[in-house]
Amino acid sequence: MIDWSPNDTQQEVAQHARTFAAEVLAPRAAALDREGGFPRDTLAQAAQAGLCGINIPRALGGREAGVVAYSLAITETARACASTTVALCVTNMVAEVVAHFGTEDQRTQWVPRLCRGELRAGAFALSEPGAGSDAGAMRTTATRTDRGWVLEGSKLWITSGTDAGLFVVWARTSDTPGTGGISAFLVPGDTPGLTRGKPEHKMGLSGSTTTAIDMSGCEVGPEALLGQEGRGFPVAMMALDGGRVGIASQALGIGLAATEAAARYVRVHEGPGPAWREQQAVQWALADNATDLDAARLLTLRAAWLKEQGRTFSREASIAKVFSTERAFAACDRALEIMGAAGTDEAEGVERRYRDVRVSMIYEGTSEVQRIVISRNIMWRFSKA
Amino acid sequence: MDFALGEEERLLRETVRGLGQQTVGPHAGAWDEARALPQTLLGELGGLGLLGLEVAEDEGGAGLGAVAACVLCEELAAVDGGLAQLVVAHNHLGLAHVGQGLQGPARVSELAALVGGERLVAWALPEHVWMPDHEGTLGVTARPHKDGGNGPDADAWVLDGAVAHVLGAGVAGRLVIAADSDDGPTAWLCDPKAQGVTRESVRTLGARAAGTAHVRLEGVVVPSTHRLAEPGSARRDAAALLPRAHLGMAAVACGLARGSLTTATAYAQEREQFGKPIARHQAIQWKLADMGTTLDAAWLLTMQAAWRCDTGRPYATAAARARLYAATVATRACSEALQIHGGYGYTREYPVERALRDARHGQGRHGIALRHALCQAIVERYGG
Repeated sequence: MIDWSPNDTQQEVAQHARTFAAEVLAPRAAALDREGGFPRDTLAQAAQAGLCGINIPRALGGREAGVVAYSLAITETARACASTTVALCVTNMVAEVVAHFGTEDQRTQWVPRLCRGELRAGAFALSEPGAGSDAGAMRTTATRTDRGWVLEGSKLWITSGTDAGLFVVWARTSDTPGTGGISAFLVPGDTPGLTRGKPEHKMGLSGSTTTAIDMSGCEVGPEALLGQEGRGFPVAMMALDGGRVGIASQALGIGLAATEAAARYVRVHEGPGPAWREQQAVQWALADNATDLDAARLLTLRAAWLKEQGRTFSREASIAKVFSTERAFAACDRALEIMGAAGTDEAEGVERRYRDVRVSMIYEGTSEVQRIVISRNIMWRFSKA
Repeated sequence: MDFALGEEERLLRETVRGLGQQTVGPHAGAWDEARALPQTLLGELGGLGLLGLEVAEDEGGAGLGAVAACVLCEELAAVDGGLAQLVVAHNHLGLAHVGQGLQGPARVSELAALVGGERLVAWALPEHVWMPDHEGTLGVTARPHKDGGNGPDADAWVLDGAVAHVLGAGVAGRLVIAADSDDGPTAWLCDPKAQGVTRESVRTLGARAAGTAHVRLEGVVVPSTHRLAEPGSARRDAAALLPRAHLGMAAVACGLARGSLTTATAYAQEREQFGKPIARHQAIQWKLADMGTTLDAAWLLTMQAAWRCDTGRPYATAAARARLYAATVATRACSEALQIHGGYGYTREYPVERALRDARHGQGRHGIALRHALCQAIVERYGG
């Protein structure tokens, strides 16, 4: 039977995340953005607070609270600090992917440490200079040797690339064209032959790092293979589908933060002539923000719920991601419109949200890729009717 | 009817395009990053007439009309939207106010310095003066300077107050301040280095090199020689400047959109995904087509308003409409250009993220103010 209310666990995790966000993240978010770099302290504290393994079995050191709780928590942390949140999202997803696809050894070796923050962060290394939306164009190779595998190639856009203690790296293990010959590997951050690039200088999320990595003669043991050989693409798809729920939740949190700031602004601002709060231009913008973000929240939670039920959720994750990220960007834009010059002033926090949210329409699959996923799924469904 | 630019306008545009490509474009990212402009740049802009676009030639200006001035501002904005916003604010707000109001011996030397690039002028009026029928105070009050005696401070005034978020105040050598006084709202040209003036720089979303600052005035003595126009006229004079400033900002928006479209088109032809250049995927083609179409419409609205201005027709409504539309088009086009670049677009290695920040910054809250003004015009024209 339909029930929109969060259960006790979900409520508890969300409340816990909200308190953590208000006490730990919010006071530091502006400085993190200004100073740049990896959110080492805030992420470590998030791990201590149990936020790095929300959907991970307790036996592996996680909170075992489910995907809905994860989504609620991410929205709460993103309201305060989107930079820490993106590192948090990826660490959670790396832990999930290892917990799901890993052998017993891999699970016990990596997952508890990810949850405890001992690896600082987990990272995904999928994109390449010539293979962004088109993951099948990947060129990085992994060649089998007597001692395991040797990885060769370059990866791009790796969140937390400066600090991650564990990378999930996708590489070609056969000449099968497209996505068939791709395998996934668990590559520790200190593996010889793995070189981390300099952090990209970005429009926003400046309090998180995004780097390239180069792998040259990068040797890993046979135990590094995650899942079956040649079956790396399904691992990537699970990481991406789950990741999209996370990014939809993050964008929602950023959009909410901008909307709340705009609402606070109009409440205290008498303005010249009629108070801002009495102007329809302002009322309409706030109403549209609230409507858009409510719909985003429901789409996001539906995708999270489907995943939690073990049902297919790829299309719903894409719908949630494209809708939530684009509407959250629009919400930040309207917040700027309402606040005028104050909106563009770093001190008010809305300009940071505008810069931070913009990338959510790009990473974990661009809006264009989401539309490809959604339309293919719809055509497939309706061609069978 | 003639849609073609004149010979002189084309030549001027070529000159400014050269400046844009050689002197401005390659450094705009670094200036944005440093949140500062090199002092030498002002001299170069001044040398080309960009700091006295519509000041008469016999006063050292370029003596251009609105069409030519818009063409030049568009050109500058195509490579640096923040700098172009500063140039528009200098020309069409600060300098225009000085030009219409400053009389006497101070006029010659002040105009020469502002037009020649020795210093810029920022228009330090509160944001709400852009709203039609606003009732807010000017944030600054003026009272006669009682202690002036018979010296140079006789007839001087004393200013107190604060104005927030003034574009250009951090880099300007002069400020136009409007103050409420017993004689009504009155404007002065102030030296920001004068005793009692403090400027607190503001970190902004866009136009980061344009020196936005909060201005505070505590007992600032201004001589009556630097009063702009008659006492009591400041609100009227300020309101009269707005249409021309809207027009300039419309041109800047068009330049930002064109610059982004140019960058995005080149990138889309070069970048390959799924076996072909992304410019051959409909998802990207549709974006480019819509960016091009809306840019053309925005530019025609801007040029038509400029032409109305140059030919002595009423142009306030046309300018407001041009700015409202062009600003929306610019933000949208810059965001689409960023999207076409994917992750690369989000980095500061490409100019599109800066263009998006500059475009959104320039839009400000004007969507609300402009729609108010446009609706008033529509009611007057179409109402019973």
